[in-house]
Amino acid sequence: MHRDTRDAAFTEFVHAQRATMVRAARLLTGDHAAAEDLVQGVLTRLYVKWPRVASADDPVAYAFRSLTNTFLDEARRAHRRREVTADPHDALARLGGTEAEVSGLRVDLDRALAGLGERQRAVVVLRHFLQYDVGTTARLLGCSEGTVKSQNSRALAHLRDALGAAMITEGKN
Amino acid sequence: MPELHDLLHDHAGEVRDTDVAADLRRGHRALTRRRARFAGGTLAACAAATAAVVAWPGDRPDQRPDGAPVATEGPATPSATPEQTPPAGLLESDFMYYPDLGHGFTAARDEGASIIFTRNGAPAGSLLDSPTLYMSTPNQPQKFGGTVEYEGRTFYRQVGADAIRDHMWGISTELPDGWWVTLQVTDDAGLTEREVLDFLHHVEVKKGVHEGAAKR
Repeated sequence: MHRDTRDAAFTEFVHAQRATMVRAARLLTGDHAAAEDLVQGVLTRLYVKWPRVASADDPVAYAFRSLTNTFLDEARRAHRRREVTADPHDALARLGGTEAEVSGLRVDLDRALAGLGERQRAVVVLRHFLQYDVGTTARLLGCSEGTVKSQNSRALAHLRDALGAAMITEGKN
Repeated sequence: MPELHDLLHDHAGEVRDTDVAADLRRGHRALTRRRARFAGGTLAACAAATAAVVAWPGDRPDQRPDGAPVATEGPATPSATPEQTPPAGLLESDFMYYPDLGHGFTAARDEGASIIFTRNGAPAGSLLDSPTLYMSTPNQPQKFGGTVEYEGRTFYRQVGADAIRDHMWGISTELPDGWWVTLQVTDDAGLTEREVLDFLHHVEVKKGVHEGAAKR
């Protein structure tokens, strides 16, 4: 694949998907700067591997698999697990908003997501933000459908506990 | 009662700036670094293997370690020594035995640790232009790309982004003694992966070459 062809296809892909990737990364990391770093790293690797990305059945799914797996790898390597933010102002700062802009529910959701394990958060992002079905989510995470279902169930239970049972519904997906 | 999907969308916020040019620049730099690293490793491996063998007189199957020729009945060629008879069906180069590559390719340049193949007796260009078989020392493992099993051995496939150039691909495998052999081919060579796997599976490095390098 010649560089011009690669550049054109990559540019089109970034225009179409980068914003969604950053938003998904924000949900995964809970942090603006970390999300941007994560996406930059993933996009760089996607460019290097572009012939493989372009020939994948679903290049977008390939990209989000790379995003979630990189997030999980980095979290595992660093042995870091996001702490539940004690101070809502910290959460607001990480979200890049002011108190006036961010509702109480949003802060609560940030705390609730931060309280999930990384893999549960990845399941929530893939299933409920990107709206992949159980089978695709399992394939992207390299695990069984049963694992996705159980992780999803635990994650939703945690979110309902944190936000109040009536605050969320799972939707039809 | 809000759905989780809506909450997450709201929570993820908006992304205003998308600097595609910066992403492209980072990609260019990463690809250049990767290719330079790979090419450096490959060429260094060729050079190291060649230097290791050439610098050690005893490596030559037709010479003793002190550099004196081995007394033979016929010409002092590697094949003249009894233990260096080419295995059946294999061709012989200075340091390796290899099967016919097919598709009209023959060895156009034998540089010891590397052999460049061309069609119809065409002169050999660089190893980036033609199919090239090369050896790598054990400290230069050619573990690039994904793996494929063939005849009970593991082969590494350098295709797509893992290839040294966009128009090339290659396959490497480790020999029982830790050395590596790689066949790198151009897309237009017409060789299939199966053909390359089978070719590499039959490649052998001459015994004296290993021993000489091991002494270094």
